[in-house]
Amino acid sequence: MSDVTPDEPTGRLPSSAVPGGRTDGPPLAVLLHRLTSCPADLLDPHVHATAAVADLAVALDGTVLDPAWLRHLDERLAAGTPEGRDTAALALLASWLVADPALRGVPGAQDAAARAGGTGGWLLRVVDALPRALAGLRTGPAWLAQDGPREELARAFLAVAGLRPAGEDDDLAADAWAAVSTAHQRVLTAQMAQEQERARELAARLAEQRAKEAAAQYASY
Amino acid sequence: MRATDGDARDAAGAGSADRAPDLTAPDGLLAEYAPMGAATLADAERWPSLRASDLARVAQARAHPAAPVWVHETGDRLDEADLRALGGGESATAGQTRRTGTQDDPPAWVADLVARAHAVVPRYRRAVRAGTSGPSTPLADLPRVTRADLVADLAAHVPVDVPLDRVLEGTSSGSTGAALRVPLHPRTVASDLLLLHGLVTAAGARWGADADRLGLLNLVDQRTAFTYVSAMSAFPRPAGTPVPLMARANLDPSAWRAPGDRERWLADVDPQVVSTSALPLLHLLELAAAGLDLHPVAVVNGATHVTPAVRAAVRATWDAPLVDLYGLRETGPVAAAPDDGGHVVVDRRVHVEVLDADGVPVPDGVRGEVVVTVDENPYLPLLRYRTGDHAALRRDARGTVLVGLEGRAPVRFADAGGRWRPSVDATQVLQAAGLLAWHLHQAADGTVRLVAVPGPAGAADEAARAVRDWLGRPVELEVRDRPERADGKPHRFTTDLDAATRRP
Repeated sequence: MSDVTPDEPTGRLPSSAVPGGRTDGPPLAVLLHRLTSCPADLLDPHVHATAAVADLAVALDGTVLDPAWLRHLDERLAAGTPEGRDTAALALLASWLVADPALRGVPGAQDAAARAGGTGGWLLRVVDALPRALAGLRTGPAWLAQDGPREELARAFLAVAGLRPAGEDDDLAADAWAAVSTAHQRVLTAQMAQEQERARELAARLAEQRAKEAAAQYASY
Repeated sequence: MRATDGDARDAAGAGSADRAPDLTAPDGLLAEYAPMGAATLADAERWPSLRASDLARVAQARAHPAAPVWVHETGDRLDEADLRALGGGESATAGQTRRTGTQDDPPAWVADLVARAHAVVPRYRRAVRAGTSGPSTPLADLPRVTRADLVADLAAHVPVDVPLDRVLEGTSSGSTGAALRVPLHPRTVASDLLLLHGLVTAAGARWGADADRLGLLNLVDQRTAFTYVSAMSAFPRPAGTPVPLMARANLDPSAWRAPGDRERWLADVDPQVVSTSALPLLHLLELAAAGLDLHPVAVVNGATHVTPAVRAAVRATWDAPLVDLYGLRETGPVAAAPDDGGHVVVDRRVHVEVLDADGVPVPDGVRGEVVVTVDENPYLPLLRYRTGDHAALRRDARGTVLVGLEGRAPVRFADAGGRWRPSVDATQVLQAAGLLAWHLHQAADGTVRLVAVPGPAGAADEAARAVRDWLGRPVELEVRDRPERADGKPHRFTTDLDAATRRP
């Protein structure tokens, strides 16, 4: 179990929450289709996310969440704050994807679940990791409203679940992530803003009399 | 050729009647170089680590009765933390660099620099964003960096994670003619002194602190130059020893207050080490032959090539070694030749490749362009910087050696009055006129032709007038809209006159 600190916004493909190297998951279209068919009331603010996750864990392979896990989820998924509601929405969307038989039937996904100690353990790792990977980017329903966010969500889900989209290698998956990742675009935007600011500061510093006085030179170049 | 350090801004002062003194007048081409026009700090800020007694020695040296007209005041900016870092080798990176690596297998710090550059240097961050290179890209797969790249977008080469509050401006005239501002860190500049001390000592000279002599003379010989007295806070010496002093001085007669002052001052301060370039050194040897009594323990030559004959003359005149230091303002020191056996890459974070015109490494022993990777100046680490100079690589017990280093021959022009004028003077006026690039050629009959790539409108005519005034000769002008070659190192100055003769 990890703490509730969001992942550092590096823009890189989210880390896998499952031990071992990534395996081939289903085609990306399987997840996109699943997200498109997500019932609107899944993200109703009155849904008790912890209970939904706990019920799914039992249904998947009989995993019963211990009190520590339940307390942890309750703290993270509490609907009293906007952050808690966003976290709960991502936990529910992760659960919705794990609950898809078309995903769990893929051999690579079964392998990932085995590496996580079983399908229930796999669910808990993903429910824990996905909201951190996507923290602060969108409110719950906004993940489903457009193609771009749906792909970003699907790719982040596969990444934390220890999977690659079928037909992609790790490099291709990382490049495709960079293209859809909101965090990555924000990092790039911040980088470019920093570079512009530095160029301005460098010009200003070099123009200062302190810089122009220079320093005594010992050698000729 | 690369002219001496900072020649673009290295200017000013005391013009004499025959030397277009209006250039440094308030509206003249070189107005920013008017005496003390660039000095701004108090002495305590110039040498933050020095005691009042040491600062008083600087003031006393400035006031020498035969001293030249000091055109500038500047210090070394070193505080106690800098001195500790320099003394501890933090900047010189001693001990990490002796494993020099090969072209195929650069030393370990190079891979670290490549990775770091892709995280913090805008040019390489852009490459990451564009997918053209990344933190683990081998050095040999990275594009070469040209001087034109630095002129066009200097900030793209300055790491974003280094505080800029200590930036000093260094300048260099360079191969395209466009002046380049190089951001320097005080520790980077000071580490040059420690390097010189090590090179001079390794060459067999004893260079200890001597309060009765000038510790180092940085000598130029040009119409206008920054001249100043400084104290060398970082000079290695026993605790409690007075700080050794240095001065930058100009042999040009116009730089002195009265005839004879030049010789009187030089003899009186009797510099321990003279750091200079080829033409001032020839001039100083002439003065010595004429009776000027100096006792340098070593001479350091930079910026331009010296011949074995000059080295022999230094030995014969002063019984002193000559160390020829090769480097660019952008890179700092790259290699040094303590004798005629080639330039040994210095023991710093400097990695040298020799590449053919297509950028492919040539085998050891084959000539090509010297390309430098360097991580010494925190404000300007460079990956595969094209020097425009040519040499062959050899590896022997001394380390990596540049053999037959070429491309830095000094060029002089003969004026109508029968005097040699160094090309550095022309660099000053041509840059001040606003030219982007040029080629100035003097034919065997003395006629002068200027091929100019102007920046602002009228720059070419203004430059031609400035050259005409400088040499007292008519100037044939050809205006072009681009340099002769886009990269590499075009010749900016050429002459058909015999360069070996001292008098035109």
